[in-house]
Amino acid sequence: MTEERDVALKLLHTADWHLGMRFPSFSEDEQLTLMRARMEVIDRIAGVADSNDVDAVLCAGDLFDSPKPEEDWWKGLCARLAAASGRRPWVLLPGNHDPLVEGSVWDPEHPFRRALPEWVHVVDRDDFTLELTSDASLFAVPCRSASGDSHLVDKIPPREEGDSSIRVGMVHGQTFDVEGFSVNFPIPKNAAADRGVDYLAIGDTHAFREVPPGARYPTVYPSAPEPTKFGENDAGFVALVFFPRGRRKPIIRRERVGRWRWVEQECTSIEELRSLAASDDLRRTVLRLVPRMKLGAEPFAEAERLLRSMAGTQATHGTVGVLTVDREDFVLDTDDIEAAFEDVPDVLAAAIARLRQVEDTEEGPTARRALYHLYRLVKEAR
Amino acid sequence: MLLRRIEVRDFGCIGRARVRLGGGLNVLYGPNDLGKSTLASAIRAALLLQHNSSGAREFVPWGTERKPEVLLEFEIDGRVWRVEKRFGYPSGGSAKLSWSNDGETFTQQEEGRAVDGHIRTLLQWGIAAPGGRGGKHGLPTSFLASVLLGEQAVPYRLFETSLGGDADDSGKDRLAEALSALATDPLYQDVLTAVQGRVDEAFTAKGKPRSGKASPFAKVAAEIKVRRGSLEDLERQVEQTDVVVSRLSELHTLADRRMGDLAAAKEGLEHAELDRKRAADRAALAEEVERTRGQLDTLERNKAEVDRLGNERREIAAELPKAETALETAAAAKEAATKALSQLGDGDRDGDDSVDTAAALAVERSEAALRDAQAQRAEAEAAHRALEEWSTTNVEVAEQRTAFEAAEAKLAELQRVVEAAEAEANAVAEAIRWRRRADAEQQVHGLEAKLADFDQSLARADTLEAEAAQLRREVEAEALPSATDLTRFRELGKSLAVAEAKLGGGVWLDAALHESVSASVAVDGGAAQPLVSGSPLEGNAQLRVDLGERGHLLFGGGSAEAASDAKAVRAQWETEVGAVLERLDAADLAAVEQRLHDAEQRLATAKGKEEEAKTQRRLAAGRKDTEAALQDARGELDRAAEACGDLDEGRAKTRAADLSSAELDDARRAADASLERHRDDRRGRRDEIGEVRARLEVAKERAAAALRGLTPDGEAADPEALASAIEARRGATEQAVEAAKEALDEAVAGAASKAEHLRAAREAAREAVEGATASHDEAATRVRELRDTAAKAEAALDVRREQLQGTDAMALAETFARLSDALAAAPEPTEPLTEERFETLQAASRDAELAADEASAEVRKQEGALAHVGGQVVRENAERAREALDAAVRREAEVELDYRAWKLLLETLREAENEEGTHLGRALADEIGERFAALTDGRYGGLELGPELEAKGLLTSAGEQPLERFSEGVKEQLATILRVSIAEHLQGALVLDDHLAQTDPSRTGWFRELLAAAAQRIQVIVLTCRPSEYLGGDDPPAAVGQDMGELIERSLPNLRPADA
Repeated sequence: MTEERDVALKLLHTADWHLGMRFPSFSEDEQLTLMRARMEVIDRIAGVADSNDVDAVLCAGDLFDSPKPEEDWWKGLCARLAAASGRRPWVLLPGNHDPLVEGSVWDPEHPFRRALPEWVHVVDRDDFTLELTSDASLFAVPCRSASGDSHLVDKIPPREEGDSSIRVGMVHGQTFDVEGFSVNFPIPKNAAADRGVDYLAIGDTHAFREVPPGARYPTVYPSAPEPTKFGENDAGFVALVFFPRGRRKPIIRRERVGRWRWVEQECTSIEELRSLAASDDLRRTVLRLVPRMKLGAEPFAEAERLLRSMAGTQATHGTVGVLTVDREDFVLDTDDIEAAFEDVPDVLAAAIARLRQVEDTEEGPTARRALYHLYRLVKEAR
Repeated sequence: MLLRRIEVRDFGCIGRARVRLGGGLNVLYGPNDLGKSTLASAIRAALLLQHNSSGAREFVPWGTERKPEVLLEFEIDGRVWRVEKRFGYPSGGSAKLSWSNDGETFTQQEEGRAVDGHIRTLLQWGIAAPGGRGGKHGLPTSFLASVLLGEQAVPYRLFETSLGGDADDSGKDRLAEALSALATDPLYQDVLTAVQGRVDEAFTAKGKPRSGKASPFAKVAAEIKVRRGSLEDLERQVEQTDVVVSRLSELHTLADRRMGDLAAAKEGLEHAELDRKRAADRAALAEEVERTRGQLDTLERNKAEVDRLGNERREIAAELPKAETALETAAAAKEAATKALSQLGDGDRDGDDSVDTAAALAVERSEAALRDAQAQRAEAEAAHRALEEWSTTNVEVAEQRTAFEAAEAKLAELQRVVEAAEAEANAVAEAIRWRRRADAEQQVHGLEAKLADFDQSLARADTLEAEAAQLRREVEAEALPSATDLTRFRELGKSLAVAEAKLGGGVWLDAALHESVSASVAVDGGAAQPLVSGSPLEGNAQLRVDLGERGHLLFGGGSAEAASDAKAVRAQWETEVGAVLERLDAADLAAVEQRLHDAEQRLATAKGKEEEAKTQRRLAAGRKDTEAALQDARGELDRAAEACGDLDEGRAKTRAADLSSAELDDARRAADASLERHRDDRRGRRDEIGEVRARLEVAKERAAAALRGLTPDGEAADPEALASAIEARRGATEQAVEAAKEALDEAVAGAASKAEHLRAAREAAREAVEGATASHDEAATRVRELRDTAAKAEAALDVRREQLQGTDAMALAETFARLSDALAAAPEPTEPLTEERFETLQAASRDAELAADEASAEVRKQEGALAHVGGQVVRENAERAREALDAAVRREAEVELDYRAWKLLLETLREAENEEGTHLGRALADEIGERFAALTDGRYGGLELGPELEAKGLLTSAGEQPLERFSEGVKEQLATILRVSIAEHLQGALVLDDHLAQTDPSRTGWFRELLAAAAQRIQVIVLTCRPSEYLGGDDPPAAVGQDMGELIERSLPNLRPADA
């Protein structure tokens, strides 16, 4: 680790908070849980900033999920920023989800702007600059629309001849530059070097990435501090950036702040499911569970009980934070189901036999579910 | 079912009959041909035959036109029904159906044709409503009608029918229900109840999916609808994005092409400019070469001049000594001549002095006058020149003024342009203010409408909640018993009916009083009536004789234990049910059930209203935000309206028409830019005017100075008058000079005549002097000229030498050579470039730049549009919406699968139940088999019956045998056992009309016990001519016998054939 005296500048770089983002695939309660998590992570970001005593916190866009979020979100953010230490500036950059447009939360007339503490700066002009230290400056350019192909980074003034100060750039956009593939606010991979910035703080992609890895003048996505969907594997971080004296290459360290994980997992046996259900570290997990099993009536019922315990009920918390189950390959094995119905009255035995016959028709899944219903009822009645 | 009373009049052979029937075994006996079977027919007709049926003709007493009449009272589920029919075909008949809860007071239920439909519904014997099969053309039949009211003739014909031959399934269903209820397994019942409950959640009684708010399908279907709508909106936005992106791509291509065109045009122009520069460079070089060449020529000339001046100086130096010698000689000659002249002048001095003096004076005066005149002429000339100077200055002033006025005119034109630009900028600014206010108004109106919708929803919610609360209060105020209580009440009612039925069987009282006794009697709990001797009374279960102060006598049927049980049950009934009925002012439990059903309906309505209220409140959930948004929007509108101020509405609206805010902003930027450009032009023009004005002021000052020179007092004078005066003065002074000259000439001539002689001498001397002087002067001049020439030559030589010394001839030559080389090396223009060609290229470059600007502007516009439609953000939102829809669809499939499974399970359970329970033959087989085996001492086994009770054969030791092979006695015994069993299961009344005609006495005893046992549970009415088979014996059953001979009054006692 670089010695403190050797560090000329320390920054915390974050992006893509997406405050107010909804998760319509889930229930209202689950949505609220996940939405609130996006706000709660800001306190941890502030904590990391404090513990590392950074000189500034750079927030590189898409901080809200829309340019005109509901009051709860901007008021909540105001409260958290007001509670943060005022010893360092926080710089908020409009992204393509929350572009700087008239009437947006970034509008100087918006109550959000008026309520912000003085140490919070909003990038609301193309020539935004902020002196971070006596020898370091920030240059930032906001998104002014939800979409566009302009090179925002080109608006950062190039380094002048003889300028040896630390220059940090901040824009929101995409570095993906496959030929013929349209991207939003493209950022050339060599933009940092071209514009003479020692570090280019960007946002948009929700995974932690350094583009390209190991560059002399790094361009970094810090990732979304809480993931927004399945498949965002490297999300949940902020970037801590240490600039050694003498304009040497900055040292970048990613720091986890997110608490939620989004996991997709298959389960192919009841034992596996038991093990998963017994796990006590899934309370902050959004789990998409795909049981691929064909179980007899009793283990099938056990599996259903386990799934219920994982999901929770109105009366009890589940062991999984948010659970969604893909039941397509979760099948009741009826081969020996008669054994599960010993000593039932003739009429029930006749009903079971009829349902077994229906199993061979296109109503097979319905018949199997009916058999399972019957199994449960008989079990409960006894 | 219980038959209570039958009365007939003019029915077949019966003129009149009145028979009361009790519960249990009723034995109606009498001899053959009394009319017993006619009475049974009357019961059938009362229950089954329509009053206007042609089938009633057989009941018209022979030889009469009387209308057969029958009245029958029967009890079903605690309610007493009375049917009264008067048969008439094709007309003249009537029918009426009434009901009573106390058996005393009847209320009419139906009349006419509706009577039979209602009765068939009550009976559920498998007889269709009138108008269907077995209609009014005759007495309708069904399996159960044959079982319970079978005709006497051939009882075993019962085996030729079955439930399958009934007109509808009501009989089969009723029997199936009765049989299956007996066999219901508790586990099965629990399962069935649970499954039915789940199915009822999702499906209506007709099996259709529920669509109400409580339906499990509704919530997820509503969610899917919302999700699908949301996704469709987003996909539309994505499509719009794609269109804009595609358009943007095209525009980028176009812009690239335009930029290429621009680059090409600029390149062409740059080439042309390069050629121009080359030509200019070559011209400059050529000029420089020429200048250097001139410098070289000058150098050569200077060298030649130095040579020439050197020669000249040398020549002068050679000539000067000669000239100085000549000068000295001339000076000596001059001195001598001067001396001679001086001597000549002294000899004539006295005589000539006066002449000379006067002449001299005259000459001097004339000369003085001439000098004055010349001086004045000089002044006049000076004034003339000053005038010319002033005139010249005035011309310059006029020119400067013209220039100033032209500049001012241009400035004025620019001012107009600026004002026009300002007007355009103001108009656009007004349009923008107007558009902002219009947008704000539109937003306010939209939000107000939304708020009104919210308020309407809230008001609706309030109303619904109030209505729901009112409904709940109403239901609560009724304090109705629960469904469980009601079920218990029913069970209690059944228990009471059973308990009291056990007391039935009939009691009667025939008082024979020897003296008047004050007593009253009440029959079956009815109203008290005086006890009259010789007037027999009969009741079903109880007679109470009140002896006033002496006490009372209570006569009852049944055992004491049964009476005690009935009392206890009655007390429980009165305590638990009677109180409820009284409180609710309900006639019976059916009324309570109806009210309970009504209450449930109202609660369901209340719940529906509450759900609707919740929905309305959910719909109004965004009211607070909308209110805040409206407040903001109104603030914005106020600001926009204030900004509009003295806005010219019409002009601003017209200007803003068909233009978006972005386009208006573009227009404002363009107008501002244009205004700024024109203002710059105006500032430049004003600077120019300042310079011209300064020059004009200078010229005017010079003119004024010149004028002041012409007018010494400095006062302004008329220039033309001044010019005239100066010209006049010039003429006058010229004339004065001429006159003075003439006067001088005259003076000189006068003086000359007087001193002619002297003058001649002197002239000669003077001429000599002059000659000498001239020679001297000439010599001096020559010397001076030579010296001057020498000095000048020397000076010129110095200058030339100095010039030669200051000029680096070598360097100049090198410069010349270098310039010549550079000129030779300078590139020639690639092509001849005319000014017209250059202007064409410039115009092409400007056009290309304009086109490129337009393409760039269109790109920016489309980028703005892309920002508006959402771009990548809307794609991401659409992706999330699609995932949400997929999840909802999966949930819907899961819910549907779950409830389809419940429904399938219910249907399957029902089918299994039907299969198990509706094989009625199987359900009855054991019971009948056991009874028949008991009758025959095990000789025969059971009767083999099909699912619908079709008789198939009798099981014997030799296997199943067809019934035809057995005797009529066996068949009527089997038929009787079957009828008794069915009647028991149905809890129905059984009418047996001489049913064992072919049975030997050894078996009738067994049937007597069978009927006695059955009569413990049901009503059995036996019509027989052999009452001893039922009433006699060592251990007589609890049977009531009635001698029909006392109850039937025959209409045609001797004309009707005997009914066997």
